[in-house]
Amino acid sequence: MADPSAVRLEQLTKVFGPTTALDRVDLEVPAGQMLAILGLSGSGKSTLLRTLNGLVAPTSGAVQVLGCDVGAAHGAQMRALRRRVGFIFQQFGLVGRLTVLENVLSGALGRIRFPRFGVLSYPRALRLEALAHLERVGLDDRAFQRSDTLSGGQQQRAAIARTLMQRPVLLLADEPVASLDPETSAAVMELLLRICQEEHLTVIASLHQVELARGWADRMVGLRDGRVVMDARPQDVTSEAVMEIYRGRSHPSRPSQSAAATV
Amino acid sequence: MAVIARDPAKAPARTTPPWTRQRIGLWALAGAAGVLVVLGWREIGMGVVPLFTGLGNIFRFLGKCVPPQFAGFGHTVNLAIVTVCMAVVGTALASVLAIPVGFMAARNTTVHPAARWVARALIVVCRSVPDLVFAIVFVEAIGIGVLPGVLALGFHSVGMLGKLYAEAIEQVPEEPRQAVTATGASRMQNLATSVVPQVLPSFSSITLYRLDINLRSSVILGWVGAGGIGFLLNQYLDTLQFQEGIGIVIVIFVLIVIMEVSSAIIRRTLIGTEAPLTSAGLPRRPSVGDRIVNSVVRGQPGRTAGTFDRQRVRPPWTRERALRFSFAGGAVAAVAVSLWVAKINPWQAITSLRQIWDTVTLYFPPDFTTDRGNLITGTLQSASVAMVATAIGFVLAVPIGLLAARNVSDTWVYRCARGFLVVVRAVPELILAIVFVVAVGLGLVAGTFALIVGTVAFMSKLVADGIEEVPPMPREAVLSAGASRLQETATSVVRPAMPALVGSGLYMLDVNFRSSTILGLVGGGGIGFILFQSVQILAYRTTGAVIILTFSVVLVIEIITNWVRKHLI
Repeated sequence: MADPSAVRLEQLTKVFGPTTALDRVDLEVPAGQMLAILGLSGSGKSTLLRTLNGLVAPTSGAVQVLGCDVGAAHGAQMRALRRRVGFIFQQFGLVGRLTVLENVLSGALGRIRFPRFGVLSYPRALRLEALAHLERVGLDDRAFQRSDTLSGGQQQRAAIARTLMQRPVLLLADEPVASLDPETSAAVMELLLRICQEEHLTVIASLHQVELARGWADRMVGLRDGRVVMDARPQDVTSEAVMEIYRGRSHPSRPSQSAAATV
Repeated sequence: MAVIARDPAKAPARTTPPWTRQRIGLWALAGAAGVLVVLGWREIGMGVVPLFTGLGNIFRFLGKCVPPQFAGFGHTVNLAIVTVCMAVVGTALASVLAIPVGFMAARNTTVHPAARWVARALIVVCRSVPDLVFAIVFVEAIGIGVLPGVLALGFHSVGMLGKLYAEAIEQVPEEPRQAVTATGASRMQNLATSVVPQVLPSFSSITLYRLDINLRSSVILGWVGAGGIGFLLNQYLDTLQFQEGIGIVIVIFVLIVIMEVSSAIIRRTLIGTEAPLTSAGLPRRPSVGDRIVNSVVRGQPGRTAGTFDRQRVRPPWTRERALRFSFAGGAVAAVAVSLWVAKINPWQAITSLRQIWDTVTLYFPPDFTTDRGNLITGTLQSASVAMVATAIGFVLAVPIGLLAARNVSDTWVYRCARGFLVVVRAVPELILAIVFVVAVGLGLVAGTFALIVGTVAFMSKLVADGIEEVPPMPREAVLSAGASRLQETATSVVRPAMPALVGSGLYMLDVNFRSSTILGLVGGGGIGFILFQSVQILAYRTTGAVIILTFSVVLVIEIITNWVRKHLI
């Protein structure tokens, strides 16, 4: 590929009604990098990730992902991009009434034609592949269980298997462990990172636990009020810089009261 | 113990809720409703006295009906089966038509706001034109037979099914849909994967419910020549063969009870596998269907979700899967058998599209002027009948509904009340109307009484179902505070259920207005009388005017209902 960077954002802005979710964000992520995005809830992390696979259309600015202009992509072009970009959701995003295996199989929809209904509507080769992915995340014996009967940690592992089914190049994760208890979240995070390393994926994950990010990230970016306020290697991240990210929101209606309180 | 006193320096205490705009609006509506009910009562000339003076007539009439005669029993059963087939095929047709309408009408799956608007308009039109009116048009177009009945049920039911389907679709969670979109799935793939599996249980339950309703209506459709057992009943009553007539009524009654009980079993078996508890925290008893399925699936070791052939990766036959397959297979088989038994030719519906269109155009443009005075009084009368019947029905349905709610009533009272409601609901309103016409003579009062009984039967069930959904925790809290049982019921059951009760009351108003047009058929008065008069004298464009008027009133009720729902619930 001519452009070695996986993601390139220029002056990306996203406005929802009266609120500016992203404010002129510039960001370049080279292929293979593992990037952690830090910030409070509402700082624009989710919106940023969702513009990268076209779930959210940018208001202005350029979004280049894997050599594709996401802002201009439509239809088949957009689907082709999404296929190569895995996305892990905070609430897992499994279809509750489907079996675990069918949820994993839905990761293959981007490369097969026609709507599918039921496990048997997918070819056997895909079913075997899906089962192998489930084995990798340690859920193969649950393949035919309804996914809403799984625990949170198991659901997120099933969601990781679904992403693997896409055979992605880039993985986006939006607070992947925020809905899990500390022990489970450590285990799920470890699984996710191990797989990303084995598959040599570029990773962009939003997190709000700084220490969790320090353990694996090559680079840490802080967002506040839709603006990049920190961009550093983990070893260079100072506690002042982190304070800057987590300082109370600089709302005009709420002058920095909470900032004063944290000092 | 010290009594906490308010600081007298503060502003005087406010102990009544503030008058917000919304509260004023709701009270104004309630007041207006009260005034309208009183005015309606006068308009109809309603009174309890005629009912008692009419009791003698009812007994004399019932005397003429016993012993019931089952003349030509084989023929009767044949027609009864055809009636069931008509309801099954009509509901299937409606379901097929309503699925795209529902997807277009749902906010989260529509292709375009304009498509959503069109779908919603279609839903309102189909709902507000009674199935009997559809039947009249289709019989006119393609002649007497079962097919016009099927089409009438099909088109009218699209309204309710489309509306409820859309509501079910709008409740599908958003994140799984985004997740499937994010895998690069196309729009149709996404619908099939993330929406369809989530809505299938509610779609099946809604459709079964509609099948119940359609069986009741299909009896009435025979009156205008749309096939089935109603046709025969009409003949017997016209020729004053009451003993034969009551024989038919008994057959219909048994049919409706069987259908209601079996659809309840199917529904509970399908939903019973979803959650072991009702939302009020009551354990679900295993239904008959549950027991059958359990006995089949048990005794096959190794057939649980955990074990499967890893080379072929095929889903194992679990209980849920067996249930789903038998339900789907049963539904398809029921439709196929019905088409064959009732000799319904779907192709004929397509070939007669031209005739149907030509017939429909006869009714337009509607003629409001020729029969202007009667149209106005008729509409007012029907509205009065609907208002009064709904109001009285509501007052009676709340206590009966409390008795029929499992979490309020005693076990035996609950069972008796539920059984009573099933029995009363199984008597078609038209039959009730005939009985009341005999008792109090032709006119609005007879129609009102018939609708009251129908409202009580139907609404008590809605009330009971609504009350069974009331959460148990606040009830325990109120009891712990030392409230009596009656106080507890009033505070922690009736009060929180009130918005839902008002919602079902408004729904009944809508249903009753449409029913009151049907009652005109047997002398229940109102706009229905003008409807059938105009049909008989082939004054098509006056019929068109009646249809437009009915439609407008239903639309007004719908708008009010939506406003109240939005601000109350």
